[in-house]
Amino acid sequence: MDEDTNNNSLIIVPKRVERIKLHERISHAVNALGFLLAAGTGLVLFYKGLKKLSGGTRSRQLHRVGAALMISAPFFVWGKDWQGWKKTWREITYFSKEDREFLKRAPMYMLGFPVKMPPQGKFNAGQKMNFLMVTFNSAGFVLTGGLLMLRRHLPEKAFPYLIIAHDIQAIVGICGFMAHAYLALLHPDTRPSFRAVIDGTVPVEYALGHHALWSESQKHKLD
Amino acid sequence: MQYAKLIDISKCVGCRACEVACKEWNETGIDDPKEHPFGYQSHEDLTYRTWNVVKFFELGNKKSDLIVNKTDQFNENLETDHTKDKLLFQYDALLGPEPGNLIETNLGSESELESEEINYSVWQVTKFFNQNTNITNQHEIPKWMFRKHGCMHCTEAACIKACPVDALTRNNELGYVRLNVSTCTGCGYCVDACPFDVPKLDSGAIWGFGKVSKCRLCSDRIQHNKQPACVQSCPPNALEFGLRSEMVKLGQNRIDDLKERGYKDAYLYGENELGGLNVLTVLPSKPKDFDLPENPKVPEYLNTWKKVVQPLGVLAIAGTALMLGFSFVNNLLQGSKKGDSH
Ligand code: HEM
Ligand code: SF4
Ligand code: SF4
Ligand code: SF4
Repeated sequence: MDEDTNNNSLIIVPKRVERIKLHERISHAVNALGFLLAAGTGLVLFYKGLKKLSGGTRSRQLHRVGAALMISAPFFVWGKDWQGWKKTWREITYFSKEDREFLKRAPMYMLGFPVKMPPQGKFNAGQKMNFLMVTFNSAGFVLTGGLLMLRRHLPEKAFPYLIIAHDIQAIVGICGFMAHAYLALLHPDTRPSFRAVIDGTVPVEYALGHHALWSESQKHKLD
Repeated sequence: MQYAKLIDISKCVGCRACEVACKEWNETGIDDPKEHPFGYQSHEDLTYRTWNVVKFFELGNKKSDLIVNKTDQFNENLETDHTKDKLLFQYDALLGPEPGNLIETNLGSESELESEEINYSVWQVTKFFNQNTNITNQHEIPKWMFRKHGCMHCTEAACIKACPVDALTRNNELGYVRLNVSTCTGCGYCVDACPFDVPKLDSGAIWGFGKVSKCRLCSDRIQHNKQPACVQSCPPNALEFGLRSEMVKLGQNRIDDLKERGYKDAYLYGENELGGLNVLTVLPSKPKDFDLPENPKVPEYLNTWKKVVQPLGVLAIAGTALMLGFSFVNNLLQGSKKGDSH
Protein backbone atom coordinates (compact mmCIF):
# COMPACT_ATOMS: atom_id res chain seq x y z
CA MET A 1 0.00 0.00 0.00
CA ASP A 2 1.18 3.49 -0.76
CA GLU A 3 2.32 5.19 2.45
CA ASP A 4 0.90 8.51 1.35
CA THR A 5 -2.70 7.32 1.20
CA ASN A 6 -4.68 8.38 4.17
CA ASN A 7 -6.16 5.20 5.47
CA ASN A 8 -7.93 5.23 8.83
CA SER A 9 -7.10 1.65 9.59
CA LEU A 10 -3.41 2.44 9.52
CA ILE A 11 -1.47 4.98 11.55
CA ILE A 12 1.41 5.97 9.36
CA VAL A 13 4.43 7.55 10.89
CA PRO A 14 7.71 8.31 9.16
CA LYS A 15 10.20 5.70 10.27
CA ARG A 16 13.02 8.18 10.73
CA VAL A 17 13.11 11.57 12.25
CA GLU A 18 15.52 14.40 11.49
CA ARG A 19 17.87 15.25 14.32
CA ILE A 20 20.87 17.06 12.87
CA LYS A 21 20.76 19.65 10.09
CA LEU A 22 23.01 19.55 7.03
CA HIS A 23 25.33 22.40 8.05
CA GLU A 24 25.69 20.86 11.49
CA ARG A 25 26.60 17.53 9.93
CA ILE A 26 29.20 19.16 7.70
CA SER A 27 30.67 20.93 10.71
CA HIS A 28 30.73 17.67 12.66
CA ALA A 29 32.42 15.78 9.83
CA VAL A 30 35.05 18.45 9.25
CA ASN A 31 35.79 18.59 12.95
CA ALA A 32 36.05 14.80 13.21
CA LEU A 33 38.35 14.61 10.20
CA GLY A 34 40.53 17.45 11.45
CA PHE A 35 40.73 15.97 14.91
CA LEU A 36 41.64 12.50 13.63
CA LEU A 37 44.33 13.94 11.38
CA ALA A 38 45.77 16.11 14.17
CA ALA A 39 45.57 13.31 16.73
CA GLY A 40 47.16 10.74 14.45
CA THR A 41 50.01 12.99 13.38
CA GLY A 42 50.47 14.35 16.91
CA LEU A 43 50.76 10.86 18.38
CA VAL A 44 53.70 10.19 16.08
CA LEU A 45 55.68 12.70 18.15
CA PHE A 46 54.06 11.60 21.40
CA TYR A 47 54.73 7.88 21.45
CA LYS A 48 58.11 6.50 20.40
CA GLY A 49 56.51 3.28 19.16
CA LEU A 50 55.10 5.29 16.24
CA LYS A 51 58.33 7.06 15.32
CA LYS A 52 58.66 5.19 12.02
CA LEU A 53 55.42 6.77 10.82
CA SER A 54 56.55 10.36 11.00
CA GLY A 55 57.60 10.60 7.36
CA GLY A 56 60.11 13.29 8.18
CA THR A 57 58.37 16.61 8.33
CA ARG A 58 55.21 15.30 6.62
CA SER A 59 53.35 14.44 9.82
CA ARG A 60 53.91 17.94 11.16
CA GLN A 61 52.53 19.49 8.00
CA LEU A 62 49.46 17.24 8.17
CA HIS A 63 49.09 18.22 11.83
CA ARG A 64 48.63 21.76 10.64
CA VAL A 65 46.09 20.68 8.00
CA GLY A 66 44.16 18.90 10.76
CA ALA A 67 44.37 22.00 12.91
CA ALA A 68 43.04 24.16 10.06
CA LEU A 69 40.10 21.79 9.52
CA MET A 70 39.31 21.82 13.24
CA ILE A 71 39.42 25.59 13.34
CA SER A 72 37.15 25.91 10.30
CA ALA A 73 34.56 23.43 11.62
CA PRO A 74 32.50 25.71 13.89
CA PHE A 75 32.22 28.36 11.16
CA PHE A 76 29.92 26.07 9.16
CA VAL A 77 27.46 26.42 12.03
CA TRP A 78 28.20 29.97 13.09
CA GLY A 79 28.05 31.25 9.52
CA LYS A 80 24.87 29.44 8.56
CA ASP A 81 22.68 29.82 11.61
CA TRP A 82 23.94 31.94 14.48
CA GLN A 83 20.57 31.92 16.24
CA GLY A 84 20.42 28.13 15.97
CA TRP A 85 23.91 27.93 17.48
CA LYS A 86 22.87 30.12 20.39
CA LYS A 87 19.88 27.88 21.03
CA THR A 88 22.03 24.75 20.85
CA TRP A 89 24.58 26.31 23.21
CA ARG A 90 21.84 27.14 25.71
CA GLU A 91 20.63 23.54 25.60
CA ILE A 92 24.14 22.15 25.91
CA THR A 93 25.04 24.24 28.90
CA TYR A 94 21.83 23.54 30.82
CA PHE A 95 21.95 20.48 33.05
CA SER A 96 18.57 19.41 34.44
CA LYS A 97 17.88 17.07 37.35
CA GLU A 98 17.50 14.19 34.87
CA ASP A 99 20.84 15.13 33.32
CA ARG A 100 22.60 14.95 36.65
CA GLU A 101 21.02 11.59 37.35
CA PHE A 102 22.08 10.47 33.85
CA LEU A 103 25.69 11.36 34.57
CA LYS A 104 25.62 9.39 37.81
CA ARG A 105 24.52 6.27 35.99
CA ALA A 106 26.71 6.86 32.93
CA PRO A 107 29.85 5.02 34.15
CA MET A 108 28.00 1.72 34.60
CA TYR A 109 26.33 2.26 31.26
CA MET A 110 29.66 2.90 29.61
CA LEU A 111 30.96 -0.36 31.06
CA GLY A 112 28.17 -2.20 29.30
CA PHE A 113 25.88 -3.00 32.22
CA PRO A 114 22.14 -2.70 31.66
CA VAL A 115 21.22 0.51 33.38
CA LYS A 116 17.94 2.33 33.03
CA MET A 117 18.72 5.91 32.06
CA PRO A 118 16.48 8.86 32.88
CA PRO A 119 14.61 10.53 29.97
CA GLN A 120 16.69 13.02 28.01
CA GLY A 121 16.24 16.06 25.79
CA LYS A 122 17.68 16.60 22.32
CA PHE A 123 21.12 16.02 23.74
CA ASN A 124 21.68 13.61 26.58
CA ALA A 125 23.96 14.64 29.42
CA GLY A 126 26.81 12.57 28.01
CA GLN A 127 26.54 14.29 24.65
CA LYS A 128 26.47 17.62 26.46
CA MET A 129 29.63 16.75 28.33
CA ASN A 130 31.30 15.65 25.11
CA PHE A 131 30.20 18.83 23.33
CA LEU A 132 31.56 21.01 26.12
CA MET A 133 34.80 19.06 26.30
CA VAL A 134 35.28 19.34 22.53
CA THR A 135 34.51 23.06 22.53
CA PHE A 136 36.86 24.00 25.33
CA ASN A 137 39.53 21.53 24.32
CA SER A 138 39.50 22.85 20.75
CA ALA A 139 39.85 26.40 21.98
CA GLY A 140 42.74 25.17 24.12
CA PHE A 141 44.35 23.38 21.17
CA VAL A 142 44.22 26.56 19.14
CA LEU A 143 45.82 28.43 22.03
CA THR A 144 48.57 25.99 23.04
CA GLY A 145 49.18 24.75 19.49
CA GLY A 146 49.22 28.26 18.06
CA LEU A 147 51.63 29.47 20.73
CA LEU A 148 53.83 26.41 20.13
CA MET A 149 54.05 27.46 16.51
CA LEU A 150 55.01 30.97 17.54
CA ARG A 151 57.31 29.93 20.39
CA ARG A 152 60.47 31.30 18.81
CA HIS A 153 58.99 34.73 19.54
CA LEU A 154 58.08 33.86 23.13
CA PRO A 155 60.24 33.64 26.24
CA GLU A 156 62.13 30.35 26.42
CA LYS A 157 60.32 29.40 29.60
CA ALA A 158 57.00 29.12 27.77
CA PHE A 159 57.81 25.96 25.83
CA PRO A 160 57.60 23.37 28.64
CA TYR A 161 54.23 24.68 29.79
CA LEU A 162 52.84 24.80 26.28
CA ILE A 163 53.95 21.36 25.19
CA ILE A 164 52.83 19.70 28.43
CA ALA A 165 49.46 21.48 28.32
CA HIS A 166 49.08 20.46 24.66
CA ASP A 167 49.89 16.86 25.60
CA ILE A 168 47.36 16.79 28.43
CA GLN A 169 44.75 18.18 26.08
CA ALA A 170 45.61 15.55 23.51
CA ILE A 171 45.21 12.81 26.12
CA VAL A 172 41.83 14.12 27.30
CA GLY A 173 40.70 14.69 23.72
CA ILE A 174 41.73 11.28 22.45
CA CYS A 175 40.17 9.38 25.39
CA GLY A 176 36.97 11.39 24.98
CA PHE A 177 36.96 10.77 21.25
CA MET A 178 37.37 7.03 21.74
CA ALA A 179 34.43 6.82 24.11
CA HIS A 180 32.35 9.00 21.79
CA ALA A 181 33.20 6.93 18.72
CA TYR A 182 32.57 3.71 20.61
CA LEU A 183 29.04 4.76 21.49
CA ALA A 184 28.31 5.91 17.96
CA LEU A 185 29.82 2.99 16.10
CA LEU A 186 29.97 -0.09 18.32
CA HIS A 187 27.71 0.09 21.33
CA PRO A 188 24.57 -1.89 20.38
CA ASP A 189 22.20 0.47 22.21
CA THR A 190 23.43 3.73 20.79
CA ARG A 191 24.80 2.60 17.45
CA PRO A 192 21.60 3.52 15.57
CA SER A 193 22.28 7.18 16.31
CA PHE A 194 25.30 7.22 14.01
CA ARG A 195 23.23 7.98 10.93
CA ALA A 196 22.25 11.26 12.54
CA VAL A 197 25.62 12.65 11.55
CA ILE A 198 25.47 11.10 8.05
CA ASP A 199 21.99 11.76 6.72
CA GLY A 200 20.72 13.59 9.77
CA THR A 201 18.10 11.12 10.95
CA VAL A 202 17.55 8.57 13.69
CA PRO A 203 14.86 5.90 13.82
CA VAL A 204 11.73 7.07 15.53
CA GLU A 205 11.90 4.33 18.14
CA TYR A 206 15.42 5.41 18.91
CA ALA A 207 14.34 8.99 19.43
CA LEU A 208 11.52 7.87 21.69
CA GLY A 209 13.81 5.61 23.70
CA HIS A 210 16.88 7.79 23.99
CA HIS A 211 15.57 11.32 23.77
CA ALA A 212 12.11 10.97 25.23
CA LEU A 213 11.77 14.58 26.31
CA TRP A 214 12.90 15.84 22.93
CA SER A 215 10.61 13.42 21.05
CA GLU A 216 7.76 14.73 23.13
CA SER A 217 8.48 18.24 21.92
CA GLN A 218 8.82 17.04 18.32
CA LYS A 219 5.47 15.20 18.31
CA HIS A 220 3.84 17.80 16.14
CA LYS A 221 6.30 16.90 13.39
CA LEU A 222 5.50 13.21 13.70
CA ASP A 223 1.72 13.60 13.45
CA MET B 1 88.03 4.73 22.93
CA GLN B 2 86.34 8.10 22.98
CA TYR B 3 87.76 10.99 21.06
CA ALA B 4 87.49 14.68 21.75
CA LYS B 5 88.24 18.04 20.28
CA LEU B 6 90.20 20.51 22.38
CA ILE B 7 89.66 24.21 21.75
CA ASP B 8 92.30 26.40 23.32
CA ILE B 9 90.92 29.88 23.18
CA SER B 10 94.08 31.35 24.66
CA LYS B 11 95.72 30.37 21.39
CA CYS B 12 92.93 31.23 18.96
CA VAL B 13 93.68 34.25 16.78
CA GLY B 14 90.17 34.50 15.37
CA CYS B 15 91.11 33.78 11.76
CA ARG B 16 87.97 31.70 11.16
CA ALA B 17 89.78 29.17 9.01
CA CYS B 18 87.79 26.52 10.91
CA GLU B 19 84.50 28.08 9.85
CA VAL B 20 85.52 27.98 6.22
CA ALA B 21 86.95 24.47 6.43
CA CYS B 22 83.71 23.21 8.02
CA LYS B 23 81.65 24.73 5.23
CA GLU B 24 83.93 23.33 2.57
CA TRP B 25 84.11 19.81 3.90
CA ASN B 26 80.45 19.51 4.82
CA GLU B 27 79.21 21.52 1.85
CA THR B 28 76.84 23.48 4.02
CA GLY B 29 76.82 26.46 1.67
CA ILE B 30 76.78 30.09 2.56
CA ASP B 31 74.20 32.11 4.36
CA ASP B 32 75.40 35.64 4.12
CA PRO B 33 73.94 37.26 7.19
CA LYS B 34 72.01 40.41 6.40
CA GLU B 35 73.20 42.14 9.50
CA HIS B 36 76.74 41.74 10.61
CA PRO B 37 77.17 41.55 14.34
CA PHE B 38 79.37 43.92 16.25
CA GLY B 39 83.02 43.12 16.25
CA TYR B 40 85.10 40.49 14.66
CA GLN B 41 82.44 37.87 14.11
CA SER B 42 80.96 36.57 10.88
CA HIS B 43 77.53 35.47 12.12
CA GLU B 44 75.51 36.50 15.14
CA ASP B 45 75.03 32.85 16.01
CA LEU B 46 75.18 29.36 14.57
CA THR B 47 72.80 28.84 11.69
CA TYR B 48 71.43 25.92 9.71
CA ARG B 49 74.36 26.30 7.34
CA THR B 50 77.01 27.43 9.80
CA TRP B 51 77.91 24.72 12.27
CA ASN B 52 80.66 26.59 13.97
CA VAL B 53 81.00 30.27 14.65
CA VAL B 54 84.08 31.95 16.01
CA LYS B 55 82.55 34.15 18.65
CA PHE B 56 84.20 37.41 19.49
CA PHE B 57 84.53 38.68 23.03
CA GLU B 58 85.85 42.03 24.08
CA LEU B 59 86.48 41.80 27.76
CA GLY B 60 86.93 44.98 29.73
CA ASN B 61 86.42 48.55 28.60
CA LYS B 62 88.27 51.13 26.63
CA LYS B 63 91.81 51.69 27.74
CA SER B 64 91.10 55.30 28.66
CA ASP B 65 89.25 53.83 31.62
CA LEU B 66 92.53 52.67 32.96
CA ILE B 67 93.44 54.79 35.96
CA VAL B 68 97.12 55.08 36.70
CA ASN B 69 97.51 56.47 40.19
CA LYS B 70 100.81 57.91 41.20
CA THR B 71 101.90 56.82 44.61
CA ASP B 72 102.96 59.40 47.20
CA GLN B 73 106.58 58.75 46.40
CA PHE B 74 106.11 59.19 42.67
CA ASN B 75 107.40 62.72 42.35
CA GLU B 76 109.94 62.32 45.07
CA ASN B 77 111.43 59.27 43.44
CA LEU B 78 111.20 60.79 40.05
CA GLU B 79 113.38 63.64 41.23
CA THR B 80 115.97 61.36 42.68
CA ASP B 81 115.70 58.60 40.18
CA HIS B 82 114.95 60.09 36.81
CA THR B 83 114.73 63.85 37.44
CA LYS B 84 111.97 64.37 34.87
CA ASP B 85 108.28 64.08 35.62
CA LYS B 86 107.19 63.97 32.01
CA LEU B 87 107.83 60.97 29.90
CA LEU B 88 106.31 58.56 27.54
CA PHE B 89 106.35 55.07 28.73
CA GLN B 90 105.31 51.73 27.57
CA TYR B 91 104.13 49.58 30.25
CA ASP B 92 103.45 45.95 29.81
CA ALA B 93 100.18 46.23 31.54
CA LEU B 94 100.62 44.57 34.85
CA LEU B 95 100.08 42.68 32.90
CA GLY B 96 99.75 40.82 30.72
CA PRO B 97 101.10 37.40 31.30
CA GLU B 98 100.38 37.31 27.60
CA PRO B 99 102.42 39.79 25.61
CA GLY B 100 100.35 42.16 23.58
CA ASN B 101 98.53 43.86 26.38
CA LEU B 102 100.73 46.88 26.05
CA ILE B 103 99.37 50.02 27.48
CA GLU B 104 100.64 53.32 26.41
CA THR B 105 100.21 56.18 28.78
CA ASN B 106 101.28 59.54 27.64
CA LEU B 107 102.22 61.58 30.62
CA GLY B 108 103.65 64.36 28.60
CA SER B 109 103.78 65.53 25.06
CA GLU B 110 105.94 63.61 22.72
CA SER B 111 107.63 66.72 21.35
CA GLU B 112 108.70 67.82 24.77
CA LEU B 113 110.08 64.43 25.37
CA GLU B 114 111.99 64.40 22.15
CA SER B 115 113.33 67.90 22.61
CA GLU B 116 114.78 67.00 25.93
CA GLU B 117 116.11 63.82 24.47
CA ILE B 118 115.21 61.66 27.34
CA ASN B 119 115.89 58.16 26.32
CA TYR B 120 115.13 55.75 29.02
CA SER B 121 114.98 52.15 28.17
CA VAL B 122 111.59 50.56 28.33
CA TRP B 123 112.97 48.38 31.03
CA GLN B 124 113.91 51.31 33.24
CA VAL B 125 110.61 53.02 32.73
CA THR B 126 108.64 49.92 33.40
CA LYS B 127 110.50 49.29 36.57
CA PHE B 128 109.97 52.81 37.74
CA PHE B 129 106.25 52.76 37.09
CA ASN B 130 105.90 49.37 38.61
CA GLN B 131 107.25 50.76 41.82
CA ASN B 132 105.60 54.14 41.82
CA THR B 133 102.09 53.71 40.50
CA ASN B 134 99.14 51.46 41.06
CA ILE B 135 96.70 50.72 38.32
CA THR B 136 93.34 50.53 39.99
CA ASN B 137 91.05 48.93 37.47
CA GLN B 138 93.41 46.61 35.78
CA HIS B 139 90.63 44.13 35.03
CA GLU B 140 89.33 46.74 32.65
CA ILE B 141 92.24 46.12 30.38
CA PRO B 142 90.58 45.23 27.10
CA LYS B 143 91.14 41.76 25.78
CA TRP B 144 90.00 40.47 22.44
CA MET B 145 89.25 36.80 22.69
CA PHE B 146 87.65 34.27 20.37
CA ARG B 147 85.77 31.09 21.14
CA LYS B 148 84.89 28.62 18.44
CA HIS B 149 81.29 27.74 19.21
CA GLY B 150 79.45 24.60 18.09
CA CYS B 151 78.03 21.30 19.28
CA MET B 152 79.72 20.06 22.46
CA HIS B 153 78.86 16.39 21.81
CA CYS B 154 77.60 15.95 25.37
CA THR B 155 77.58 12.60 27.14
CA GLU B 156 74.29 13.51 28.79
CA ALA B 157 72.85 15.14 25.71
CA ALA B 158 69.61 17.04 26.26
CA CYS B 159 68.92 17.02 22.52
CA ILE B 160 68.82 13.22 22.45
CA LYS B 161 66.37 13.14 25.35
CA ALA B 162 64.15 15.68 23.61
CA CYS B 163 64.03 14.06 20.18
CA PRO B 164 60.72 12.24 19.65
CA VAL B 165 61.93 10.06 16.78
CA ASP B 166 65.52 9.21 17.81
CA ALA B 167 66.97 11.24 14.96
CA LEU B 168 69.73 12.18 17.40
CA THR B 169 71.84 9.36 18.75
CA ARG B 170 75.17 9.10 20.45
CA ASN B 171 78.06 7.10 19.16
CA ASN B 172 79.48 6.09 22.51
CA GLU B 173 82.41 4.32 21.03
CA LEU B 174 83.90 7.38 19.37
CA GLY B 175 82.08 9.97 21.42
CA TYR B 176 79.92 12.16 19.25
CA VAL B 177 76.24 12.96 18.83
CA ARG B 178 75.00 12.25 15.36
CA LEU B 179 71.96 13.59 13.59
CA ASN B 180 70.02 11.51 11.10
CA VAL B 181 68.65 14.16 8.82
CA SER B 182 66.21 11.92 7.01
CA THR B 183 64.35 10.91 10.19
CA CYS B 184 64.39 14.40 11.68
CA THR B 185 60.87 15.82 11.79
CA GLY B 186 62.02 19.39 12.30
CA CYS B 187 59.93 19.63 15.45
CA GLY B 188 62.65 21.74 17.07
CA TYR B 189 62.38 20.09 20.49
CA CYS B 190 66.18 19.68 20.48
CA VAL B 191 66.53 23.39 19.76
CA ASP B 192 64.54 24.15 22.91
CA ALA B 193 66.42 21.62 25.02
CA CYS B 194 70.10 22.12 24.15
CA PRO B 195 71.86 24.03 26.95
CA PHE B 196 74.29 25.47 24.39
CA ASP B 197 71.69 26.60 21.88
CA VAL B 198 73.34 24.56 19.16
CA PRO B 199 70.84 22.89 16.80
CA LYS B 200 69.35 25.28 14.28
CA LEU B 201 66.26 24.89 12.11
CA ASP B 202 66.23 26.06 8.52
CA SER B 203 62.80 27.57 9.06
CA GLY B 204 60.65 28.68 11.94
CA ALA B 205 58.25 26.41 13.81
CA ILE B 206 55.17 27.72 12.07
CA TRP B 207 54.53 25.73 8.92
CA GLY B 208 56.21 22.45 9.69
CA PHE B 209 58.78 22.58 6.92
CA GLY B 210 62.49 22.47 7.49
CA LYS B 211 64.83 20.35 9.54
CA VAL B 212 67.57 20.80 12.05
CA SER B 213 71.32 20.73 11.58
CA LYS B 214 74.47 20.90 13.68
CA CYS B 215 78.13 19.87 13.82
CA ARG B 216 78.67 16.14 13.42
CA LEU B 217 82.25 16.13 14.66
CA CYS B 218 83.17 15.23 11.09
CA SER B 219 82.19 11.66 11.88
CA ASP B 220 82.92 10.67 8.29
CA ARG B 221 86.48 11.92 8.63
CA ILE B 222 87.26 10.57 12.08
CA GLN B 223 86.03 7.17 11.09
CA HIS B 224 88.72 7.26 8.43
CA ASN B 225 91.38 8.34 10.92
CA LYS B 226 91.35 11.90 9.70
CA GLN B 227 91.16 14.97 11.88
CA PRO B 228 87.96 16.98 11.76
CA ALA B 229 88.16 19.59 9.02
CA CYS B 230 88.14 22.51 11.46
CA VAL B 231 90.97 21.04 13.52
CA GLN B 232 93.07 20.37 10.50
CA SER B 233 92.69 23.93 9.27
CA CYS B 234 93.66 25.80 12.44
CA PRO B 235 96.92 27.76 11.83
CA PRO B 236 98.04 28.36 15.47
CA ASN B 237 96.97 24.86 16.55
CA ALA B 238 94.32 26.25 18.86
CA LEU B 239 92.33 23.13 17.93
CA GLU B 240 93.48 19.64 18.68
CA PHE B 241 91.79 16.30 18.20
CA GLY B 242 92.61 12.94 19.70
CA LEU B 243 91.76 10.42 22.39
CA ARG B 244 89.64 12.15 24.99
CA SER B 245 91.91 11.12 27.85
CA GLU B 246 94.86 12.70 26.08
CA MET B 247 92.94 15.84 25.26
CA VAL B 248 91.98 16.20 28.93
CA LYS B 249 95.63 15.90 29.87
CA LEU B 250 96.70 18.40 27.26
CA GLY B 251 93.99 20.80 28.40
CA GLN B 252 94.91 20.44 32.06
CA ASN B 253 98.56 21.15 31.34
CA ARG B 254 97.57 24.29 29.51
CA ILE B 255 95.35 25.35 32.42
CA ASP B 256 98.23 24.87 34.87
CA ASP B 257 100.41 26.91 32.59
CA LEU B 258 97.85 29.71 32.35
CA LYS B 259 97.34 29.74 36.11
CA GLU B 260 101.03 30.10 36.65
CA ARG B 261 100.98 33.08 34.38
CA GLY B 262 98.34 34.85 36.38
CA TYR B 263 95.08 33.62 34.88
CA LYS B 264 93.76 32.40 38.19
CA ASP B 265 90.29 31.57 36.82
CA ALA B 266 91.58 29.48 33.94
CA TYR B 267 89.35 26.46 33.51
CA LEU B 268 89.04 23.38 31.34
CA TYR B 269 85.42 23.48 30.29
CA GLY B 270 83.81 20.15 29.46
CA GLU B 271 85.94 17.81 31.51
CA ASN B 272 83.00 16.99 33.78
CA GLU B 273 80.08 19.06 32.50
CA LEU B 274 77.06 16.97 31.47
CA GLY B 275 78.85 13.72 32.09
CA GLY B 276 81.81 14.99 30.07
CA LEU B 277 81.76 16.85 26.79
CA ASN B 278 83.61 15.58 23.76
CA VAL B 279 84.51 19.13 22.92
CA LEU B 280 86.79 20.55 25.61
CA THR B 281 87.57 24.24 25.87
CA VAL B 282 90.53 25.89 27.56
CA LEU B 283 89.16 29.09 29.07
CA PRO B 284 91.46 31.79 30.48
CA SER B 285 88.68 33.08 32.70
CA LYS B 286 85.15 32.24 33.84
CA PRO B 287 82.78 30.42 31.45
CA LYS B 288 80.28 33.25 31.54
CA ASP B 289 82.88 35.58 30.05
CA PHE B 290 82.63 33.43 26.95
CA ASP B 291 78.90 32.92 26.77
CA LEU B 292 79.01 29.45 28.30
CA PRO B 293 76.67 28.32 31.09
CA GLU B 294 78.51 27.95 34.39
CA ASN B 295 76.77 24.68 35.20
CA PRO B 296 74.96 23.36 32.14
CA LYS B 297 72.06 21.01 32.82
CA VAL B 298 69.66 18.79 30.96
CA PRO B 299 66.46 20.81 31.44
CA GLU B 300 64.24 19.45 34.20
CA TYR B 301 61.05 19.68 32.14
CA LEU B 302 62.23 16.94 29.80
CA ASN B 303 61.66 14.45 32.62
CA THR B 304 58.19 15.74 33.46
CA TRP B 305 57.22 15.76 29.83
CA LYS B 306 58.82 12.58 28.53
CA LYS B 307 58.97 10.43 31.65
CA VAL B 308 55.71 11.36 33.35
CA VAL B 309 53.13 13.03 31.09
CA GLN B 310 53.71 10.95 27.97
CA PRO B 311 53.78 7.52 29.62
CA LEU B 312 50.72 8.41 31.69
CA GLY B 313 49.04 9.53 28.49
CA VAL B 314 49.80 6.26 26.74
CA LEU B 315 48.47 4.46 29.82
CA ALA B 316 45.28 6.53 29.84
CA ILE B 317 44.65 5.89 26.15
CA ALA B 318 45.36 2.18 26.47
CA GLY B 319 43.18 2.05 29.62
CA THR B 320 40.30 3.71 27.81
CA ALA B 321 40.61 1.24 24.95
CA LEU B 322 40.59 -1.67 27.40
CA MET B 323 37.58 -0.28 29.21
CA LEU B 324 35.68 0.10 25.97
CA GLY B 325 36.66 -3.40 24.89
CA PHE B 326 35.37 -4.72 28.19
CA SER B 327 32.16 -2.77 27.69
CA PHE B 328 31.71 -4.23 24.24
CA VAL B 329 32.10 -7.82 25.42
CA ASN B 330 30.00 -7.16 28.50
CA ASN B 331 27.26 -5.82 26.25
CA LEU B 332 27.29 -8.97 24.19
CA LEU B 333 27.08 -11.10 27.35
CA GLN B 334 24.26 -9.03 28.81
CA GLY B 335 22.48 -9.23 25.44
CA SER B 336 22.70 -13.03 25.32
CA LYS B 337 21.51 -13.25 28.96
CA LYS B 338 18.46 -11.21 27.99
CA GLY B 339 17.97 -13.60 25.06
CA ASP B 340 18.14 -16.66 27.40
CA SER B 341 15.53 -15.35 29.80
CA HIS B 342 12.94 -15.04 27.03
C1 HEM C 1 44.39 24.03 16.51
C2 HEM C 1 44.85 22.88 16.63
C3 HEM C 1 46.28 22.46 16.85
C4 HEM C 1 47.46 23.13 16.65
C5 HEM C 1 47.66 24.55 16.14
C6 HEM C 1 48.51 22.23 17.03
C7 HEM C 1 49.87 22.53 16.98
C8 HEM C 1 50.86 21.69 17.40
C9 HEM C 1 52.25 22.00 17.37
C10 HEM C 1 52.83 23.31 16.87
C11 HEM C 1 52.93 20.95 17.88
C12 HEM C 1 54.45 20.85 18.06
C13 HEM C 1 55.08 20.03 17.02
C14 HEM C 1 55.07 20.69 15.69
O1 HEM C 1 55.62 21.79 15.53
O2 HEM C 1 54.48 20.10 14.79
C15 HEM C 1 51.96 19.96 18.22
C16 HEM C 1 52.27 18.75 18.76
C17 HEM C 1 51.32 17.82 19.13
N1 HEM C 1 49.97 17.92 18.96
FE1 HEM C 1 48.98 19.50 18.22
N2 HEM C 1 47.97 21.05 17.45
C18 HEM C 1 46.61 21.16 17.33
C19 HEM C 1 45.66 20.20 17.61
C20 HEM C 1 45.96 18.97 18.13
C21 HEM C 1 45.01 17.93 18.38
C22 HEM C 1 43.54 18.01 18.11
C23 HEM C 1 45.69 16.89 18.89
C24 HEM C 1 45.26 15.53 19.36
C25 HEM C 1 44.25 15.18 19.86
C26 HEM C 1 47.07 17.28 18.98
C27 HEM C 1 48.06 16.47 19.46
C28 HEM C 1 49.39 16.78 19.46
C29 HEM C 1 50.39 15.92 19.98
C30 HEM C 1 50.18 14.58 20.64
C31 HEM C 1 51.61 16.56 19.77
C32 HEM C 1 52.98 16.04 20.13
C33 HEM C 1 53.36 16.56 21.45
C34 HEM C 1 54.58 15.87 21.97
O3 HEM C 1 55.57 15.74 21.23
O4 HEM C 1 54.56 15.47 23.13
N3 HEM C 1 47.21 18.54 18.50
N4 HEM C 1 50.72 20.43 17.93
S1 SF4 D 1 75.64 20.64 22.59
FE1 SF4 D 1 73.43 20.57 22.34
S2 SF4 D 1 73.17 19.64 20.31
FE2 SF4 D 1 75.28 19.18 20.92
S3 SF4 D 1 75.13 17.17 21.95
FE3 SF4 D 1 74.95 18.73 23.56
S4 SF4 D 1 72.73 18.98 23.78
FE4 SF4 D 1 73.05 17.98 21.82
S1 SF4 E 1 64.14 18.74 15.21
FE1 SF4 E 1 64.74 16.72 14.41
S2 SF4 E 1 66.53 16.13 15.60
FE2 SF4 E 1 65.56 17.85 16.71
S3 SF4 E 1 64.19 16.84 18.19
FE3 SF4 E 1 62.96 17.23 16.37
S4 SF4 E 1 63.11 15.33 15.16
FE4 SF4 E 1 64.77 15.27 16.67
S1 SF4 F 1 84.06 18.94 13.59
FE1 SF4 F 1 83.54 19.02 11.43
S2 SF4 F 1 81.36 19.47 11.41
FE2 SF4 F 1 82.09 20.02 13.45
S3 SF4 F 1 82.64 22.17 13.34
FE3 SF4 F 1 84.51 21.03 12.88
S4 SF4 F 1 84.52 20.88 10.64
FE4 SF4 F 1 82.43 21.44 11.25
